[in-house]
Order: sequence, then C-alpha cells, then structure tokens
Amino acid sequence: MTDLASGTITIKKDVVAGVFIAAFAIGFGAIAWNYSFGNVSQMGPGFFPLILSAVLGCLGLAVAVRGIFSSAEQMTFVAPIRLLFVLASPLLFGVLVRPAGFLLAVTATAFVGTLAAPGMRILTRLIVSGVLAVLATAVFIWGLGLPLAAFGRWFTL
Amino acid sequence: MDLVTNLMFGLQTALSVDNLFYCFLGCLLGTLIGVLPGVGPTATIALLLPLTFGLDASTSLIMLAGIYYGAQYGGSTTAILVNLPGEAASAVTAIDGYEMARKGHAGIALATAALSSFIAGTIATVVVAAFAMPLGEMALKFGPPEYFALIVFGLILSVTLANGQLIKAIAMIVLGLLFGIVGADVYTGLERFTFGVPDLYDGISFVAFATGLYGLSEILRNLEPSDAPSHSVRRISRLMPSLADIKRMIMPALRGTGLGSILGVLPGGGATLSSFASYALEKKLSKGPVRFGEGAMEGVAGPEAANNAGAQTSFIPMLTLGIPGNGVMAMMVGALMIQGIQPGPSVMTNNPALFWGLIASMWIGNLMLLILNLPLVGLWVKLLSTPYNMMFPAILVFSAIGVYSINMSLIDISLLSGFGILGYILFKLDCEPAPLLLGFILGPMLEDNLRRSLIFSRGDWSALVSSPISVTLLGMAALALIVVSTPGVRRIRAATFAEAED
Repeated sequence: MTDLASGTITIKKDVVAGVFIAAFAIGFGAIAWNYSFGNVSQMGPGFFPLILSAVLGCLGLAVAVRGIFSSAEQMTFVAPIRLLFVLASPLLFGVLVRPAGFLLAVTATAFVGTLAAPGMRILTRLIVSGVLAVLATAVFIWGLGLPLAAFGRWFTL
Repeated sequence: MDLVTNLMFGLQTALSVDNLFYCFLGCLLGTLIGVLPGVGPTATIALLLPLTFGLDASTSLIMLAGIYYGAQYGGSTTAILVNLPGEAASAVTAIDGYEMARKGHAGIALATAALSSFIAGTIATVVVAAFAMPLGEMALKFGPPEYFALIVFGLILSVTLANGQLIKAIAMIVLGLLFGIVGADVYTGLERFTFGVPDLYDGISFVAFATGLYGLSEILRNLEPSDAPSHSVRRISRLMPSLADIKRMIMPALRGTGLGSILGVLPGGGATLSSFASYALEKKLSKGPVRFGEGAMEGVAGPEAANNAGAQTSFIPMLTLGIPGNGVMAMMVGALMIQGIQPGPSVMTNNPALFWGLIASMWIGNLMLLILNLPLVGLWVKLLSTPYNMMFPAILVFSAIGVYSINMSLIDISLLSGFGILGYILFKLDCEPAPLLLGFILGPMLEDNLRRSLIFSRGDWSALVSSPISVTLLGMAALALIVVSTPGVRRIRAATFAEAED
C-alpha cells in the first residue's frame, strides 16, 4: 500500500538505499573528475575524492544488489507537509533575521515550526512562538550579547 | 608527575566556581534530556556547541561531558519508572528495572541504578586518568603512516562494534569522508565541491552538519504518525536499599564497570554497547533463584554501571589520540576545534588544565548526579508530561540561532535544513548517522596523513605498513572486518543488540 499523503509506502529498502548511496558517489565522482589527479608521490586534489567516490559507488551497488533479493516492506514516514514546515522553519530565521530583526525572526521560526504539529489551536501556536521569541531574545541578545539586532531595518524607518 | 598529583591538579581546575557551575549545568541538562524521550545527548551537544564560543575551553568541555554522562543517569529513571528508555543505553535497564517497579520495588531499582552508576563513574575516572597518559605519550611518536593506520582502525572498528548493517555503515563512513573534505585543498588551494560558494571555502560547518543530522532529523522522526501506547508511571516506594541489596548489586556493578571501561575505549563502543554486553554477561553468570526479565536487580546494576563507565572511558581515545570513537566524541572534537585546539596527544602537554580538569570534573559530576537524581526523582518524572509539541519548536529555534550565529551565514542555515532531510532519509533507509559524522570529522585528517605518508616515501605504498604499529593497527582492522562478516559472529552481534527488543 502506498499512500504518500498519510505517510506510508511499500518499498525494497535496500534497493533504494543502494541507489541513493550510488547517486552521491556519482555526484562527488563527476565533480572530482575535473580536479587534477596527480600521482601517488604527489597526490593532486582529485586523487582522494575520486578513490572515495569509486569505493562508495561499489558499496552502493552492493547494497542495492543485495536488496533486490529481499522482500518489500511497508514503511511509515512523516507527512510531507510537516516535513516542509520543519525544514522551512530554520530557513525563515536566516532570511528574516537581518531585515526584520531577531525577535520577529524567532517568532516566525517557532510559529512555522508549530505548524508541523497537529491539533494545536492557533492561539496556542501564537503564544508558544511569542514566549519562545521573548525568551530567546533575552538569553541570546541581552544575556549572551549575540551581535544581532532585536529589531531589524524594517523598524528603523 | 604521577597519577595522584595530576588528579589533584585537575581537581583544582574542576573546583573553580565557573567550572563547578557549568559542570552542574551540564549534569542538569543531561539528566533532563535523558529523561525526555526523543531528545538525545548527541543532538543536545550539537545544539549547545555554538553557545560554548564564549566559554573557556576547559569549562565548555566540562559542561558538554556532563551532558553525556548525565544523560546516562536520566535515561535510567524513565526506563525504570515508565518502561520508556530515554536513551538507547538504558534500553536494557528497562527490562528488569521496570519489572522491579511493577512489583513495587521502584525505589530500590532507582537506587540500584544510581549507586551502580556512581561506583562505575568513580572507578572509570581513575581508569581514564591512568590510561590516558601512556596512550598519549605513545601517540606523540606517531608519524603520518601510523596516524593513517590509526584512523582507518578507528573508523573500521567503530562500525564493526556498533549496531546496524556493516556494509551500509562503511558506505556512511565513506560518504562522511567526502563531505569532510569539501572546501579548499590544503596543498593546492583548489576549492573542492564548493560550487564557488565562498561560505564553503573553510569546509562545511560542523555545527550545521551535526545539528541537521541529529537535531532536525530527530524532530522529523518524532513527528511520524505513531500509535505509541501511553505509559503509566510507577509509584516510588522506599529508596534506601538494604545491606543485603547492596551486597547483591556490588559484584554486577563491578563487573559492569570493568566491561564498560574496556568497551568504552574501543571505537564504536561507549555507553550503549557496554550496557548491552553487561546485561548479556550477567545473564550468563547468573545461577540460582535470580530470574532475568522478571525484576532481577543484577540486570539493573550491571548495565547501569557499564553504560556510565563506557561513557567516561570513551573519552580516552578522543583526548589522547584525537580520534573520536562515537558520535558524542565527534561533537567533543568539534567543541575543541571551535576553541582553536587541535585534538590529539598535544592537548595533554599544552592544555594540562583542560585535560586533567575534565577528568576530575567527571567524578565531581557523578557526585552531583547522585544528589540530583535520587532525592529529586519525582521532579524528573513530572517532566515526562511535557508535550513534545511545545518542545520541538524550541529545538528548531535553538538550531537556527546556533547554526546562524557561528558565521552569520544563510548558506549554513540552508545546510542545516539540507542535512536534516538527508539524516532523515538515511535513518529511514536504516543507515546510521554516527559513522557519517565520524567520517566527516576524520576526512581531512585521513587525506592529509595519507598524502604526507606518500610524499615522504616518494610514492611507495609500502610506507603505510612500514612500522610495527601501523601493521598491527591495519591488521586488526582487517581482522575485525573478517570476523564480523563470519556468519556465527554476525548472529551473536545481532543477538546482543536485539536483547532489549525481546
């Protein structure tokens, strides 16, 4: 049974794992190909990564091949929408901290974070983010003296 | 200087007001996260790394170490009272500990765990002090080929002793090595895998890598749909064990300490392996009326002693050789590097206050933990009702601030999210994050020592096996791989780790 939205999928885990690993090997290998390889007594910058990529590729292949003979199993994973909220939350901090300032950036980060949790009232979410923002500002800006402004340039007009 | 003088010197450092305070803070935090399921010591240390910027190097390590061994105490509390091991290392404690609690001996079980941990912590402190010196002195004579062999040995052994499929774990090491060498090549200045991004010139930010891999992916894991049954907390009866109880626990505790001290030093060892191995040992040794799985005190005393001893002795290779054996030690190496200290044998000679202060603080920390845990146990149990929905937004905020504050870089924040999803995908595919982290830390060292060895030998590969030390280390690594791959050993290895799941 495969149902992406609710978070279950049936796959041969090791096949996916092997291909995933091999993909990294190809990525790193393709880039390292352009670096000078040098020779054994004077290794170039490409020597070590290229060898590692080759080894990684073989390992990935071995995992995948072994996986073909295993049986598919059902796997549960986090709902994609929650995943997006969790990943977006820190990014929001990075984007907002300069223009909006620390306080608002933390509020936004925490609020988007709470969106990943099911069944919370909107007011609870707002309170949690507000409290976190004030606490974090007190600890990091006023307490530890992190060189960031509590209020960004949006407030200096 | 002999052992006693050194320990006294360490005590002086550890007993300074600042260090006492941060040691306490570390132990408190450790207990806290040990109690709370879903928050591990590796993630916590990653989160707190940026905060240690402003601290003195020894103070910061003393605090971070407190988190690690403090988590071993806290984890056992919930294992016993709620059958919910807060830490992987306490999983075996839950088997007999919870059974004891169900029979109305919760207090005794808690006291057994705390006292065994304290005994182990005390002995392990001396073990660390005694073994660190000769090992460090030996390491000072290491040249590039020996270091190359040592790193290979450490990496290979760390996966043979840890849980999980061997071939995937090795793949994770190699992937970690590749991530580790991103950035400017020291020999030519060529930027490797940076895509022209200046923020990556010095390599991928360790804090972003570790926080994403452990902190963020842990959140994703906890947000999965689950139907975990709610647990009921057992009442705590009298805490003081009787003389007969103490007699019963002392031998398992001492055996656990011994086993944990040995296994902790090995790469890949540390707390978790030690506790599992100790449970298996006590089960084998038991004769007579003791029934394991039905509330045997020995099944609490042994593993609890072992995990605490293992947690402490795993500092030995990190402190003396600069080679981390598990994820938490990789964090410690990161903490040292943030402070501008290159981990390795020179730490002992150049920063003796840090070295001996850290060791002495372990004993002080264990004493604090004994006081923190036994009388205050009720308080910790109340914390269990903290809803995770309140906790994880805070973790997200901390991660973002921590990662951003180091270089004030948006790239680092993007890496945090990137490694968060990578860590989660790898977890779902049964690939362990610890070898990835170890590879990441050791990647640049491995390449540098390999290149230097071959430059000195003018391209002669046999230089790598020219000294008895490097031959032995590489031979042992190969042997470990072969032994673990044999079907018989593979079964034992799987059984040791499966013990808790029965």
